Amino acid sequence: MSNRLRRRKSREWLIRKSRRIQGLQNGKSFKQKKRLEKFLIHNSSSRQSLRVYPDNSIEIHLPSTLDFDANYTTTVSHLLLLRSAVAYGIKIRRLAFERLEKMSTSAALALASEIDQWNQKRRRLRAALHTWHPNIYKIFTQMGFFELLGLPKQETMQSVDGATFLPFRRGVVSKTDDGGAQARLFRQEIEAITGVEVAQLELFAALSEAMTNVGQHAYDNMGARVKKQWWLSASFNHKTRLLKVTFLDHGRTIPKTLPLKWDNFEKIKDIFNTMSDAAKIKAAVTMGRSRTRQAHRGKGLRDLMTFAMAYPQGSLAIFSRKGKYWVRPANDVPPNFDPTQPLTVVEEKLLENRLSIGGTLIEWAVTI
Amino acid sequence: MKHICIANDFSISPSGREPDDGPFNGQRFREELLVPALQTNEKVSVRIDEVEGYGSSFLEEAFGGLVRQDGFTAKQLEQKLELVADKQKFKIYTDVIWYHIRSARPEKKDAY
Repeated sequence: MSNRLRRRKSREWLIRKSRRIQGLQNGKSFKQKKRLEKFLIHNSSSRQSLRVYPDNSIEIHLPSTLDFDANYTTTVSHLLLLRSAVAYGIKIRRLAFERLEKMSTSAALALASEIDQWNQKRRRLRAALHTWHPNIYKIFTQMGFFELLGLPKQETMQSVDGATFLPFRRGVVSKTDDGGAQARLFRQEIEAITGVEVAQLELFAALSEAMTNVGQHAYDNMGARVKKQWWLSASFNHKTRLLKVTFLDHGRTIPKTLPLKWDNFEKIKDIFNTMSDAAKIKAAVTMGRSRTRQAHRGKGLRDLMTFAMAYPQGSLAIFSRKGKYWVRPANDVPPNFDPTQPLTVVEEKLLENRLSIGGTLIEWAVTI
Repeated sequence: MKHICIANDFSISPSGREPDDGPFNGQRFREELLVPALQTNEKVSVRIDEVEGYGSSFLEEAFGGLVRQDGFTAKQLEQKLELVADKQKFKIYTDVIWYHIRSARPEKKDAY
């Protein structure tokens, strides 16, 4: 059988399975069903990743590597499959970790956020711990997965290849939730594992604006019942001294919420509509965003740069919808908080992916 | 002169623009502390250090909002408002705050 034919058969198999699942989802809109079908088709590496039981519950097998840089499409498709199953009320009998061997900080946070959503809406997942790869077991222990899964807390584990992961934090942007206090505690936790002071003002500015962006833009028009949630974590490699801080939301994404409060937007509308998602993210960060045409708003995304600016070789990566914008700004000392001053970019990369990440993921990487 | 210390009188980790962004947002700081102080005192001194940090949204709403929402002019504020930061790393925020004040435009017709 040729590869082409094999791929076609695999796709057809997934479509059949997805339709079988959808057949049980009474009351779901046609649009939702089409979306689920799309996720299932993209779910990759395909039939090995999904098992449908006679009672129409499903089993999702995670791939060997979850990493947005090295394995984007497979990583995203599995995470979105989990999300769509939760959203459409499909019973997940098991989330299988047996094949999972490597996981980046960002992907670990994204997986944690999906399981967290699952726990908030449904029942707890089962976990066959003895089948897990030791590294995954360690990462999950450090990140607080066991509490998340409703399992007894495990003993603190040693680092994974020299890296220590911080327990992930979840927050909701609301009148009562103090995101600033969470950011402060988070900074203290980072300093506890790194043993050095980090750039406090810059980290706070970046996290504070990431949270404000979630409150003001990310979940717009998603309904009053949708919580404006975010997730936050970090990892620190003791050998390379590389600190990665990751912030995630499940909102409508920057490219989708971007219009535009730019002056004279109407004049550039046609050009804007042809821009890639990555280019839109870049525009939002460097030019500001605003949907209200109020000049004083929408400048906060620029603050995301400041933590990366505080360190030589510091970088910022933003995944939002299908785009990825990676930037290494100039190492300004003191960092450039002044909105009147232009940002100096040393290096930047724009990348367009096939699948939407289903929200916005921000990652700062600095060597301390 | 009225003295306000953001860290002691408001929050050590102020964040967000509006009430929906969190309890210690810029609008609340402006409406509950800054505006009453400016309306009843000749001069107001605001100590901006000792906090965890600031995001642009908080600073713009707290200080730029004085011009946009509360009828103050930048010239009036230059005479009435004093920003204090002993720690060197916080001094940069005084420039940022004055930038927000000077670039803000009134949204209300009522002048203070």
